[in-house]
Amino acid sequence: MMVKPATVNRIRQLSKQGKPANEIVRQLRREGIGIRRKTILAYVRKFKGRKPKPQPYKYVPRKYRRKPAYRRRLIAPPPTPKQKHIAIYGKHKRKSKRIEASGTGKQLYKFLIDAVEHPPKRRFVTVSVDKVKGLSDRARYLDYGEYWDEKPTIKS
Amino acid sequence: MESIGTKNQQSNHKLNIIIGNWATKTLMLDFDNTPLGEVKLWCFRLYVWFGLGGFIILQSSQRILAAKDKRTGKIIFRYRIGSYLVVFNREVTWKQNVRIMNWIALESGNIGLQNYVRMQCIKGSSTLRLSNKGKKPFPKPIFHHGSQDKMIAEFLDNRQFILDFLNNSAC
Repeated sequence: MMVKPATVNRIRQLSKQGKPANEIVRQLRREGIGIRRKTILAYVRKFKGRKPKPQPYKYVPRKYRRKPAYRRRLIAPPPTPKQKHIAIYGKHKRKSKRIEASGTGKQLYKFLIDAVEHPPKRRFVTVSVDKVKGLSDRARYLDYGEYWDEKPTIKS
Repeated sequence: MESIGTKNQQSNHKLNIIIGNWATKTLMLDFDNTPLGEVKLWCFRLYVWFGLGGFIILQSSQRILAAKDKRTGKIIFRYRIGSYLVVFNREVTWKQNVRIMNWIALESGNIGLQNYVRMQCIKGSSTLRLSNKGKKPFPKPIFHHGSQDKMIAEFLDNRQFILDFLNNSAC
């Protein structure tokens, strides 16, 4: 920051009179000289030949200090996907058919979309959906050429 | 006796299939045509006798029946019976599951429950319906007792998954 030479001279003059820094600040304010306290203190230190206090960090209140690494909040690990077990059953050509699918949500959802429309190839199918990813995999279990019969009257 | 009404709501989902939850480690029961008080009684008996942690009762369907006098034809009294599904909280092995299901089926003398248990033994896993079935709406929880954190939480999670699926997909 640029400070006027007249202001610097005034600070030097007051420092040589042996006045403390706070009094110099008040005096300059009375005289109508606007200057930051931080800058005044730097000049006073310079003219009095004093060094800044060591370890200034300890004068900062604790709540404003930077948290040490061990106190920082760790990022929570993502939750493990839960295994779901869904049974789909109905009638196809008057025969009861059933699919027992198990897997995590996303894969199971994709499988359900097709399984709701198309019956399985065999009468009882158990599928672990996590291994069934593409359409070709699903076609191993579901009969894409056929549809479920209407009005399910099957027992669970 | 005759059925004079039903409180079931019509469901919007027109599915040609039924979606349910299957499990081997969860004790699930299906009481058909049984008053709710009787279902609660058997559930509490199982809960205490086998230490099952807690249970939840879901209402599948409900009917209001009326008993009439043969001579006059007047209704003497009305009563409700329904189909209720029960899920217990403690994890059990399939061997324990079959043992408990058969015990309750024999003790209660409920024909519907006996048929249900037979079907589960044939399939090798227990299944409960979670979607609608024709005019019957999807089951809704009506009563719970004890802890609900293990198998019941898993069951309700599956139920929510299926309800979300039915609502999001154009079924």
